[in-house]
Amino acid sequence: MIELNELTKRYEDGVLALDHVSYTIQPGEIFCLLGANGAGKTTTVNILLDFIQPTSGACFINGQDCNKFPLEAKKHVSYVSENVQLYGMFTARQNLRFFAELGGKKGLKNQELDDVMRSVGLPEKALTMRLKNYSKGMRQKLGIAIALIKDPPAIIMDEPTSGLDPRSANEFLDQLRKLRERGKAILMTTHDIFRAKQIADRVGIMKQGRLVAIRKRDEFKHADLEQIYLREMEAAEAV
Amino acid sequence: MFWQIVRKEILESLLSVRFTLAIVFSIVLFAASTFFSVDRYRAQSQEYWRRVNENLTGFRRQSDQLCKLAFYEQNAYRQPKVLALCAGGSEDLLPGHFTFDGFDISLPQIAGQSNFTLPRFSDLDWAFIISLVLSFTAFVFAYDCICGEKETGTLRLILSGATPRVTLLLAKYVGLMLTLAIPLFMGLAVALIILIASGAETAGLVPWARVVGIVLTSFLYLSIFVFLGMFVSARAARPANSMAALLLAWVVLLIVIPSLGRLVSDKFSHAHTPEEFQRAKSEAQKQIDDRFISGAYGPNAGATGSNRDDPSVNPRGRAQGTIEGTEALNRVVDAHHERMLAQAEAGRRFTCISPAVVYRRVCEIIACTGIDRSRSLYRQIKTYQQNLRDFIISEDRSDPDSLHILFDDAPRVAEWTTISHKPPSFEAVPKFLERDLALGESLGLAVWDLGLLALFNLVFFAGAWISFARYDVR
Amino acid sequence: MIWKIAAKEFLLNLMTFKFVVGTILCVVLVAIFVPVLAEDYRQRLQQYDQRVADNEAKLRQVKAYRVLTPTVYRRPQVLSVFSQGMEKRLADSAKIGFGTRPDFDKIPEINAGPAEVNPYLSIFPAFDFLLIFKIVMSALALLVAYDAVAREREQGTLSLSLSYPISRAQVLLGKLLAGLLTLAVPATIAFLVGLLLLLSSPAIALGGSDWARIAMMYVASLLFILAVYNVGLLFSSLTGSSSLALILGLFFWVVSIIVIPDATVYLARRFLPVTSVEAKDEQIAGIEKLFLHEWHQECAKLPSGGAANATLGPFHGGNGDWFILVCNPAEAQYWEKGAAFEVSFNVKYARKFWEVEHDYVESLLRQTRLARAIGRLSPACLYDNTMNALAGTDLADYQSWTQRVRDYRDTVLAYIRNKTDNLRSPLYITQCTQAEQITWAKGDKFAEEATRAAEKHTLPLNLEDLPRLTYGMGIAQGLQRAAADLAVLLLFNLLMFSLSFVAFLRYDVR
Repeated sequence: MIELNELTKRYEDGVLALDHVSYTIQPGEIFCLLGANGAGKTTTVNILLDFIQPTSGACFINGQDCNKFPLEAKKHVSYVSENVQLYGMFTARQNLRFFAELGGKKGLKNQELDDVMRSVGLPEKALTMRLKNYSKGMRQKLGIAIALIKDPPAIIMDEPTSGLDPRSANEFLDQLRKLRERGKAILMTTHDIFRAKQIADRVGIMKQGRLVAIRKRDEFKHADLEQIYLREMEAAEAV
Repeated sequence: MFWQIVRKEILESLLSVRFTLAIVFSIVLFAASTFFSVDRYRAQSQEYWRRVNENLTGFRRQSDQLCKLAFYEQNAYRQPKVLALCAGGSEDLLPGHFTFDGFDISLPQIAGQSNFTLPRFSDLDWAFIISLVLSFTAFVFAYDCICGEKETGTLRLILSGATPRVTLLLAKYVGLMLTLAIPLFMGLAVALIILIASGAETAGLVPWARVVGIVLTSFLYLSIFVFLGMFVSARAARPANSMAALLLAWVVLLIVIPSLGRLVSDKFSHAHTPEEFQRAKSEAQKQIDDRFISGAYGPNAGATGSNRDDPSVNPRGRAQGTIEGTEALNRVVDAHHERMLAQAEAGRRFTCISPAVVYRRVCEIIACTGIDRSRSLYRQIKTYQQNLRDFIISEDRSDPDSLHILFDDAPRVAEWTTISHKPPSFEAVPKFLERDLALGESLGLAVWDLGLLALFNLVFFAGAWISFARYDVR
Repeated sequence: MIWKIAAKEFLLNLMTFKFVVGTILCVVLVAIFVPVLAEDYRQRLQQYDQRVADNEAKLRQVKAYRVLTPTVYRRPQVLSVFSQGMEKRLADSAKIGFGTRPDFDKIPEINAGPAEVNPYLSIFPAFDFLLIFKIVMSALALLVAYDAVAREREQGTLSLSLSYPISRAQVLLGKLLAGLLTLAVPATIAFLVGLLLLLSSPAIALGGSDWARIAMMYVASLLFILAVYNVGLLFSSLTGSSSLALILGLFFWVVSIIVIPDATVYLARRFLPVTSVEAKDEQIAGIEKLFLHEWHQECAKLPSGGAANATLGPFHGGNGDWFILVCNPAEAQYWEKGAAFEVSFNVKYARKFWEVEHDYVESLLRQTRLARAIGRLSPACLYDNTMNALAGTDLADYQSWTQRVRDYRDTVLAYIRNKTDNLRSPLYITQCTQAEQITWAKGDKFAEEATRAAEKHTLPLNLEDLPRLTYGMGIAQGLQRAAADLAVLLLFNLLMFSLSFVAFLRYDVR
């Protein structure tokens, strides 16, 4: 699971990117972090992955402190970034094998790699194609395959549906559902309210570094998530 | 549209790190180069005038008798040039000293001229800075001018407007040249400040017309690299590939090809070895000796009695034989010298594949330094020898006692009074002073090389145009 | 983990355009340079063998110890094919002499002159194999290194990799290893092709010590290329954009590989002027005057000599080149005292002449040493020094050979003293017996016969026990001389990598 406890980050230039944010994501839950650009979503991801240090507070992945014991924490998490370019001169298989080995899975056979890639929806001929010829949607799928093959309990995704066409985005959401069924704790940052509504178990709304609202699925299933979002943003402004 | 693009290019470059680095390097290198050159020029100049005066003093001492004039062994030295700061022409490594008298001239000497234990170096002159460092800078500016804009997507944006491709290409070229001109001019400005501040005598001696000529040639040269950079940029898909290709091309053109010059010189052209030279001289001498013995110059031509009226000597015969002997030996020396020059030239001609070599040659011609200057010095000495001999003969005409024959045998000329013993007026005696070619003459020599530089420009421009016309901007 | 990252990077590098072009360029250049240089070496070796044989032949014709003035030659170094150094710039022979005016003009340290037949050829830069490594391979190293970190960041694969449980140290070490492996490919190919071409030339034979030195040269080359790679890696770890890293790397390259080697020579000449040749010649002329003056003074104290029939020894062409076939007793008496006097007097003045010449050359060498010292700022100069030292073509080796020659001269002198009872025996100047002397002194006809007879039966001396000059440089000496520069190169590598490390630890991977 993924846990944030009073996580705060103030940058050197004084900008308060995160302001005492706390929440926990349970296994088998998809948590979507919504917010405008600059709200603090990416900062959250960067701190979880120990790319930057928090000013105060802590975060944990499977009980491991992300910033005190980063290497330990990273054993339990996979990352899918927004703009996955990967290694253009390598084939999909070669890319996947490399990252699988980084994650500790040595000696995988081609068959096993192909199975994972097929399972995320990559067509047959794409399996041996070089990455530089991949479309954005295909690269995103491969990104998920990379995350899958490590098979960790937690997955962090940063704006994964940005730039995807509707069909690819739907295929992506199917993958997410499968992952949820396998009991993964998934943190997904996005500003795509539509998709968030389709997939999230809980939604967290961030504005200027603060978590202004958390809504469960039943709370927004019948209501318009967009309305809730805009209302919460205004409320936060009034405060 | 054209000037807007040019302005954009310049502004963009001005804000980049590479521009700052280019300015810094340019200023530092030009300043260091000028500072050291001026220093060295002063020291060498002093030394040069001291030697020339020494030579002149010795010559004056010798000129108490007309018949001794032609036999004083004079030393000619290469005069240090202010413009060596622009194109040193490896002056320290090339022969700069000839000894000669009225009849023959030694082979060029370089002993004691420079420290031969030092590794081979090129002068840190303007030609070095421009041909190596600034050409490199030209590549650094030009390598991503097309493929870089493709990556950022701005190329598509511009071409989606009404701008024709050729306008864009030319505007980029002008922008790049103007951008390059800034570090070049700043460097030159610093150099000129140092030059002027170094003292009026040095500053007053600078032939400004020639400096302008060199600066214009530098532009022509740098333009080659801008076009080449644009050409490769328009053929590469990514800036990284473009830079890789340009860097390797730079290394080949500017480092590898010039160093092959030596190889070509050795393989395809041979100068005579010292042994062969000695053999040729001995043979020529032997031929003359044989003719003496066989009586071709008359009876007793070889005799050396002290009384010229004695029937056992034949002054005219001896003179004729000696004159023929001197001419024969001089022909051998000339031929040997020409072969040495030809060997060097053969290598240089091959290396003209590299624009840097052509550029350097033009600069050396305009600055009157380098190997062409050594050849010119040699020829001037030969002309001087003729003038000196003519002078002696014409002065000698007024003396009824003299036999009026001048030949290369000092004791006999004095003993037999074949040339007058009267003292000449030293002021009237021709003295050797090296003369530079006129600017017009220099340019005339350089015209082929300038044409070659223009040709390089044309070829790479054509390449850039054709490549960009078909460039895939997606 | 480091190995996995290294393997991935290595494979990616092999597939790049810059790698292929760079490697091909290296191989082509090696194929051009090595045969030419090997042929040149072969010719020089042939010349050396010929001259040594000639020297031996002449030794077999020496008929008096006074004319034992052999010439010793320096064998051309086989590894000068790879690293020319001073090899063709200093004269390579030395004449051992004790005559009236000692022949120091052939000792390399003293009459080192440009060994150039055609002075106009100095307009060309040196045709040197090391160029390939110093310029082409270092450019390739830079091209491989500059995007090692920055490009991965731009691609997004760096943050992806770091989301795995690997430390930044492992990532950077992996990149270092990958760079080494990538650049080792063209370096190894270049060396192999070069060696093959070298060995295919008939005259060239490599001994054990040569192979050891070649191995060290290979290691030094890798160290140099790695040094440039490390600088590129540093720039890549300092900047976020690969194009900025490239620009910085390129300027560093141009400065350290092109400008600094040139500038060091320039600065050295400017700040440490050499004594002029005229000043040296003046000093020599002064000592000569003194020499002649003292000589005449001392000579007057000797018994006046008699008459002799002298002839040239086999090593003529210098001084101390004649010996006596027959002479009268007065002349023999003169030489009894004169021999010791001549030798000790000449040796004393030889020392004085040598000091003047030595000071002059020392001033030249001081300038060169300063140039090399300043050059230690640039890895290219360090590399050059190391390769010269390993190949045996550096200054230190020449100086060591000169020292050997000086020692050898003392050996020959000691040998002569030994054989001639410390120069008291007439064998120093002649093999003429007392009887012959008296016969010769008597009259013309008898003198003629005596001369002819003496000519016939004066046999060459047996010089088989004369020690010959041996000079060789073992791998140990080469390493010793190269050690300082090699150490600095290693330190440079460590320094640059440490800086990269620190930079990378704080690197913003987002």
